[in-house]
Amino acid sequence: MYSEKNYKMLFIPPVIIAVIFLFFATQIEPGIEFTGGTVISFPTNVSPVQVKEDLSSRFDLEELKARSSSGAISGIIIEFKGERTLVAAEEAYKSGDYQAVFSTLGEPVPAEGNLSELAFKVYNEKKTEFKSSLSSFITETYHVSSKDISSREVGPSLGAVFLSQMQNALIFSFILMSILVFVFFRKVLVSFAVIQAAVFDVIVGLGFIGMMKIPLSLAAVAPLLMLIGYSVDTDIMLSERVLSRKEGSPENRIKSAMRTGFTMTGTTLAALVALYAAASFGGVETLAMIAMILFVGLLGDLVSTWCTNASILLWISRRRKK
Amino acid sequence: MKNIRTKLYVISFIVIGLLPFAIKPLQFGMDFTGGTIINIQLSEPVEGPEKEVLVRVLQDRLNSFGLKDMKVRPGGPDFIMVEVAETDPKVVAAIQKIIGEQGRFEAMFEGKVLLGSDGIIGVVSDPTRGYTVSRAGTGYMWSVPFTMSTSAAKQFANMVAGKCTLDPSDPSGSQCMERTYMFIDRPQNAVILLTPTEYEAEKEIPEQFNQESPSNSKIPLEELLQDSDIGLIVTGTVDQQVLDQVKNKTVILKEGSPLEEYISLLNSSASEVQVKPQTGNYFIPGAINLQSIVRLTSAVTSGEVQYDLRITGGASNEEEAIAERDRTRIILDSGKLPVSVQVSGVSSVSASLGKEFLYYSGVAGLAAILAVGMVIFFRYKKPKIVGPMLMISVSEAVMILGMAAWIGWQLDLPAVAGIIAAVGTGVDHLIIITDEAVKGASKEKRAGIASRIKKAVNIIMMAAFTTIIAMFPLFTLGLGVLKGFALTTILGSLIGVFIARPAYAEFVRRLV
Repeated sequence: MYSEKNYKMLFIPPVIIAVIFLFFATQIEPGIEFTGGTVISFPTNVSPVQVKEDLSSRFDLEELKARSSSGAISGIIIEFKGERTLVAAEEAYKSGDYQAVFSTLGEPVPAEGNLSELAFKVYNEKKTEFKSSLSSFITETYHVSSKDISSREVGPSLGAVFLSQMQNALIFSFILMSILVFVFFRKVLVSFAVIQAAVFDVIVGLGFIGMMKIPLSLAAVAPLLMLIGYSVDTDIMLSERVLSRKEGSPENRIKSAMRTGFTMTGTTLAALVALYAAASFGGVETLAMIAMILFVGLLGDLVSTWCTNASILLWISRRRKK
Repeated sequence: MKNIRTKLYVISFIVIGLLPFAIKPLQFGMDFTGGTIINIQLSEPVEGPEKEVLVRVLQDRLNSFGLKDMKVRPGGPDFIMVEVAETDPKVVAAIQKIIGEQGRFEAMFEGKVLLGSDGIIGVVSDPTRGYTVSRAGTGYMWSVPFTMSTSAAKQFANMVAGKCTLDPSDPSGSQCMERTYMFIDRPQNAVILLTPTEYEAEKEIPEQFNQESPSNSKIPLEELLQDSDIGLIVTGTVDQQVLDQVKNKTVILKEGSPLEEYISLLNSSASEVQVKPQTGNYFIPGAINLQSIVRLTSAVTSGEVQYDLRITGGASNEEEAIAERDRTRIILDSGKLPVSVQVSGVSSVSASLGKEFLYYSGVAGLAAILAVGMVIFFRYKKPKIVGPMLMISVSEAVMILGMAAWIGWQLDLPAVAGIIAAVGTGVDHLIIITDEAVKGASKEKRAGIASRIKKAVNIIMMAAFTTIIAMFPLFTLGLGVLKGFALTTILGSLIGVFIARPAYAEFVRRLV
């Protein structure tokens, strides 16, 4: 497949794959960590559909979703953006319309005092009230001890901070990594070959997140950064083997590097399958999700390393010979 | 063992891999122990001493709420994190409410409110205007000046007029025997229920209950509570008479008290029952949110209306005096924070879920290592190679955990993912070394192996540093959520490059 005639064809599959996964990457839906919202999980045998119905009949929750959680203890995970009047009140408060805060919450507008402070106080009280009644509803309806309820709540402003930090972390990672790779190889094309592979892998990872409709969370950033690490491992190994060795043809050197590279990626893929199985059986959703994204990203790494990067290296060494 | 790299590896493994566990146990984060983290966002970035004040005020205010195992810690310039072991959504909601609100300051005198939050116009925090700590005799004096509104000043002057019996033991000769009690969020319409044993332990409360050094003047509990307008019932059991007395009131019980068994009965009559733990040397001050006890001075009791007053107190050393002065200022400022805060995120993991997470994370890690072992066995088929490879990988994981224990890092789920990532790249690097060495052995003479291994080490050095640098932004930028992940990955890469892989290279060199 790396013969003189055919190797340029190897550029085609990566381009097609990149286009497809880029499209899916644009379909990513940010999870509550970035948009703001609440996730609550508790053990119960009641079906998600039933839970959603129960909650809707009692509370007016925006964008309510319910799903069952896998794991040794079966349970339910519910997710919502917020209680409708509270969300409206918060928006009114932010826009400075304090009168509207009182009217949305069904409270009389006080005649005197600091409106902003009083509005915040009323909002705060209503929010506490809502949370208490929601937790009472869950404990009473599903006979759950309040000690067994886990929850995560992210305010919209914190979500915005998370999102910008995630973007910064990814961008800076790429910049620093690119500089270092260039310092190592000192050749634009070779460095480009390594960096493009990392970019490609992360695109595949992101595309997979979009394709599977996994809500984007902070924990999903971890496998994307891991992909950078795993990607450069195989690419640096390949570049070194092909460019700084003399024995055999470049083609043969690639083939011998491939044996090493496939073992490297193979061990990781196997480890990820095991990790995914154990984590999803145990209900450790974070780890299971990381394993899944990493797995697909590494499949992408096989393509970016052994199609694109290998072809670029072949082209470089063949041109050198001439 | 002769080789220096092998020695380094063995020593490192013992020192950073095993020894830390003997000294300090590995700490687990909230993901595994269960608990709640509340993220508080500040309206503007705050650093340095101001941040410390902020953290302390929050700590004080939350302490008055009476929760055990509460930690308030700074998290980046515009965040503060509160960690509590509690996960009950109702309690968590109540904590959030307290953080969002300002404290209600009250100075009580003879059972009435002498001065409240609304009466204070300003509190001085400028040393040149009397906000000072100075030497006085063998100890130190502190002073906090403040200004009252017209109506508050009049009321204050009227209430304390002529109410001064000079304290003969006071060296300055201006201190009275009469006391005022300062509260933040004093429980209203409340009554405390104590068993006779509990009462006996709290019969007299020292005036300076905040400090370790026992004060010589003690206040009978009845007097303290009466002057603070809080009820007290001493009883071993709850009968109809007690129920009548607590009707529509807030009942406060001590955590662990035998009276706890009557909670549901009390609830039928009282408007609310609060169970509070003991937070200091005494139960009562914490239970009623008493902040400090201050004596009147002859100067303020003349009946003349004064707008500028100062609160003074003594302490045995300078540090205590400064702490007490700062506390008093914050109390007078009704617990006001230097910048406005907002609860922007809350996450709770129940203890049972955390336990499950920990167990299955361990299982998942083991399963991953087993899978790696199978693949490399399939590829190399020699136990002589597969054995050391697995051993090195496992020891790397142990060393990362050891380092984490050493620096007191709390292990959370992302940190576990980081360990898996580090061990994963570690295995990759071992494969590179093995392939270089084994391939070389079959083709060339032994002399070539050294240079081949050197090349392999070069490759893995480059790869490892690239990984480290890619993680770096996450470690410095992050909010803490993925910091553990970045930290364990970086630690793992460093341990791998400098300790574990050179040792493995040495081993392979002698093997082939």
